[in-house]
Amino acid sequence: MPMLDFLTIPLFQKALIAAFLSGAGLSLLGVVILNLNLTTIRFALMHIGLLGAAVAMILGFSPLVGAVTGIVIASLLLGPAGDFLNMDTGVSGVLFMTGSLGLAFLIFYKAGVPAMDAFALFSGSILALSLFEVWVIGALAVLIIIVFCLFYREIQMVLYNQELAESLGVPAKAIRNALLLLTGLAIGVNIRMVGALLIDAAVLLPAMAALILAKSLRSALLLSALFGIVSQVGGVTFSMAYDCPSGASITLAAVLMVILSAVYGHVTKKIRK
Amino acid sequence: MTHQAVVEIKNLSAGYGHHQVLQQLDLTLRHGEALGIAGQNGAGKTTLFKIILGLLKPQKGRVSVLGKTPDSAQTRRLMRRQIGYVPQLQTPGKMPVCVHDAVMMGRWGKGFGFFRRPTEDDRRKVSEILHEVGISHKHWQEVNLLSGGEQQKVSIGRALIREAPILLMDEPTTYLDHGSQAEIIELIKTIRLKHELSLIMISHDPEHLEAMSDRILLLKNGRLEER
Repeated sequence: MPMLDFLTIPLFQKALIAAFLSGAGLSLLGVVILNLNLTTIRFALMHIGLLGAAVAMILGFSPLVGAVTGIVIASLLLGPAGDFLNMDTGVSGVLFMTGSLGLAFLIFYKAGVPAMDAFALFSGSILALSLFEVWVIGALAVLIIIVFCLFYREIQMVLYNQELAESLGVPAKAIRNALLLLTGLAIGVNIRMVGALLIDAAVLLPAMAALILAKSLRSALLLSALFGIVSQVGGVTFSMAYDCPSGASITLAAVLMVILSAVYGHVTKKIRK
Repeated sequence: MTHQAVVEIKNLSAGYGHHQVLQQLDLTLRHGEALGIAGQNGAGKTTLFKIILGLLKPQKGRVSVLGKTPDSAQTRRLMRRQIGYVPQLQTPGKMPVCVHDAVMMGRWGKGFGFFRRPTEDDRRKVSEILHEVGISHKHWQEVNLLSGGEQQKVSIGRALIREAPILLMDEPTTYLDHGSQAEIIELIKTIRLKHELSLIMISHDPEHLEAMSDRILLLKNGRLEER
């Protein structure tokens, strides 16, 4: 089918709009995850999502609602738990990850919940999004962009040096916790789009590519959004044109962005020398 | 130098959980004084600064900065406005920040803040401070790409732009080469007189402290001793 014909199908229209919104807004949080050393956090949140799904299945709710609720609650608790345990937030995330996974397996065993139904959450598809879910992605993307615009300087200070920000009077812990909550929401939403196992492609890889080239937080955010849009929209378009799985196509497009950024960064550095 | 105490600590005990780092410590910093605190790594020097900045609650004792005690979030905020803090030189983070923005951070709560963006006056002050600490030619360069000495000047600039009467400096000459150490010592002497600052500097190197301080105390076993 020619590419333009795809664009007339509502299913693909929704997918492309969701890809654009996710790339423009949600990938900004990758910059936060990389700078605050929260890479373990997304694993923790994914496993907590699994626990939430297991609990929801026992209670007769949709596993997705349970997963997102679990992720939101955990993202609110991660920062204060790290402070209480006097640990780096990334390290305290390990406790959440293993604890929630253990609890989820216990629930699967004792309550007879079919584990594979909960694990199905780990593979998402952008083509299966409902209109409501596209609206949720859009609202979250707009919220993230507004937060970054309004609190740019404060976020910059927290990402630069949290203790220094606190010494200057910035409520650094509150800002970190708010960023963790947004990160949790972004991960919860992206699970539906690309699946939990490929979440890095949507959230982390565009930021990774951006940080190779960026000279300030502003340029890191703009480049992250640009790479997010290109990899997500490009990945979805490629998957339509060549009949490939959308999650895998988005992931490979994002990996390509990182490789191209690294090569460009390396070459320009050599030329400057 | 007058005899008015700007920082007063009485019978302070502090630590992390059951691990006590500072024990029944007394300290007075007078207006215009440059006080050096020497001590081995892990002696509790940085913990002492965290207490003065209100970042760590004392387990016992009393701390006051220009008559204010860190009893509430509001008084802690007011105390921090009276202090410029130069943290220990750190390994560069992942986030790129230019010299201008790194120094501008010091204006938070003074010039700009929540829903108040930096003004022309803030930007002018950044230019003046960069000129004063000798890195105006690096205005838009990334902090991570500067030498250790230049990064320390950025830190000093950020503390100075707060226009605070008290300066806390954590190992200001550590990790620097000899040339940069001499430059930073000279800079500290100059800004101290020009801005009439009261200083506390902590270092594990008493030699450098001697070059910058009026008085040196030794932090040992959680207590301060005259050297």
